[in-house]
Amino acid sequence: MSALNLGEFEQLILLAILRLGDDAYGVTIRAELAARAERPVSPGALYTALQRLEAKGVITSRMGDPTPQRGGRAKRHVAVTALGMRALRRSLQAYERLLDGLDLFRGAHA
Amino acid sequence: MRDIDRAQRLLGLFTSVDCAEAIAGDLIEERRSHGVFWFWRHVLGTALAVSRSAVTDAPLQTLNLVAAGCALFATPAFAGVAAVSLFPQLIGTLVSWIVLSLFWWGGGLWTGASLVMIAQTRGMAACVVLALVGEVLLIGFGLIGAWQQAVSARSVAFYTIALLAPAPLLAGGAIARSRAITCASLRPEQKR
Repeated sequence: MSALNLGEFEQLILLAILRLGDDAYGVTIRAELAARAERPVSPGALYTALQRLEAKGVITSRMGDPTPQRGGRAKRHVAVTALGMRALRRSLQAYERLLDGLDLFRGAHA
Repeated sequence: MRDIDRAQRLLGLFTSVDCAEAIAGDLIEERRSHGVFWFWRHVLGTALAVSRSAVTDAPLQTLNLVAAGCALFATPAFAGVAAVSLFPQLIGTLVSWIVLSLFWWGGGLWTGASLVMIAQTRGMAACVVLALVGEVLLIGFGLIGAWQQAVSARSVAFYTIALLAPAPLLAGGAIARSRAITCASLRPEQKR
């Protein structure tokens, strides 16, 4: 079976989900990406990416309880699966190997 | 009906019931800090993104549905033309345009509903693709026709009826999807 490849946006989403833990849902993921990755993401782009990641088996989702602040609508909490963790580690290790020996922030490649 | 209900209904046409509920809830949660204009802009943007994703994630399935839609619509479309042609003395009269409209718009409604019955979430996206392709082809043929020969009242009436056919197509899809969602939400209550 071929290895599951993740795009850059998908990696960012998975990292944001991991950072947020149990509180990972649409609003908080967008806020986390805007705050930490300095990447404003439209709701449409995020929800289609989450659907794609769930279809790949990289994340799972569960419906929370409805709250009055959300007009009585439930949150859809997401979590990274074991398959997602493996794919993310592999992607980040590839970055690490490529970065090894390079000094992008200082020196010759700055 | 409140804004959130309208938003959820619109999103529910293109995605699962749970997803539509969660997305509508997320957008209403953020509306307090961004305002009503932001809310509706992103409801429409998300509906568009989700429907586009339904097409791009499974292009062959969507193509099959669009082909099925063409086949389904062809029957009432040709039946309308045949019905009008059976009475040559009525061609060009108000009665002939009403008969043609009934066949074509009724056919559009039936095709939209059938596509959603065939594929619950992807069916509505197929309806949108079919409507857009149909409009583009009709406008193209209409412009070519207008360029090659003088525009007559008959051709204007013909193209107006044809150009309006995607509206009942989308309406048929939306009605079928809404009914399916209502039936699905009633089922757990019936079990109790």
